Amino acid sequence: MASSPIEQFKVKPLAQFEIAGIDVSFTNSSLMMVAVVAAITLFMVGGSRKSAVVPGRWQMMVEVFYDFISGMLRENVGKEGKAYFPFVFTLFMFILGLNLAGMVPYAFTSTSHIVFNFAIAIVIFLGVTVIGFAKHGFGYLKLFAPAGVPGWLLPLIFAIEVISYCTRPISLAVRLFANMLAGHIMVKVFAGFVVSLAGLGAIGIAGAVLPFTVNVLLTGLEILVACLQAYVFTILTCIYLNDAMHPAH
Amino acid sequence: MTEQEKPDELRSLEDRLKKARQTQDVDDQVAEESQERSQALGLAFKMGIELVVGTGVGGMIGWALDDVAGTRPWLFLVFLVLGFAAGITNIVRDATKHQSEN
Repeated sequence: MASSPIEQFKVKPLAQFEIAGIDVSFTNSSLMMVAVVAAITLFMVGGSRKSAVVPGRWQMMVEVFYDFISGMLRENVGKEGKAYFPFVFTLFMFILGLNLAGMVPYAFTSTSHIVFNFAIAIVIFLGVTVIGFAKHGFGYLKLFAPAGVPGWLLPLIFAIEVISYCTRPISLAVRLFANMLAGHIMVKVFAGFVVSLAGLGAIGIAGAVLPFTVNVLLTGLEILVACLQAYVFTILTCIYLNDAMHPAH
Repeated sequence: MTEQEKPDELRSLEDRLKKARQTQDVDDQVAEESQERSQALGLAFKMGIELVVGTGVGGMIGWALDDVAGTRPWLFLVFLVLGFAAGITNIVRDATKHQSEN
């Protein structure tokens, strides 16, 4: 019981595989991803199976997600954003699913590992860069030189803008990872307080009520953070897409 | 008899509808407020991390360029400051965008 608060983040291989000397084992993290993808597929397919004009409860839930993401794309990217709806929707559902599944006791939180987030973020970063150059050619570089900057400042501004562009994948990955990691550690630490206080007899049990209350509140906060971080990750993807579509600010 | 009761019934229906609409409006308002608040929380998270990551990435680029040019620690220091500036630029841009939205 008294395991360390970071024990929960340990990636354990469930089935060992190796391809060309690279460890590609099926881990508890992979298991969570497969489970979440299966759950999302079931949810989406089950909800849209009937496609009734007057939606039932299940179809309603699916439509809420659809409207949420399509509205986000319309507001942040515009009409051209429609083409990227499948990707953005999948991204949101996957991250939201993993974050929320991580809140289930004994479950593993894949998004608490920076490699996982960074892999997704770098795909978004490279994809957006390719889209930007494909649509605008070298005109995409206008993104790094805002209009109205005096000529002598341009090299400095250009350097700053390029660095700020390069921070995108890292800040995307770090934000999600830091929030999930910190939240799960906090819950675990307070749970540890409850256990060790309760072991001290009657006074200890009375004292354990306090960290227990905090833990209940933290669980609520963590569910909020799980949804919020999925939202932030997705909306930033939309904003980056918008920059790729309309580079001149 | 029924002729006289009907307007009453209709009136009570109207009252009930009005009441229901009012509570619905309040519910919508509460939902909107809580959504705004969680968006602000998201913005705060974003800004806090932006500064750290900006400086970090600037420093890393400088460190790598130093390896190439053999000028340790000068490019590292220059790019650390540039990275910090990039972080600030990002935060200011987000903040002005958010302000113009409201």
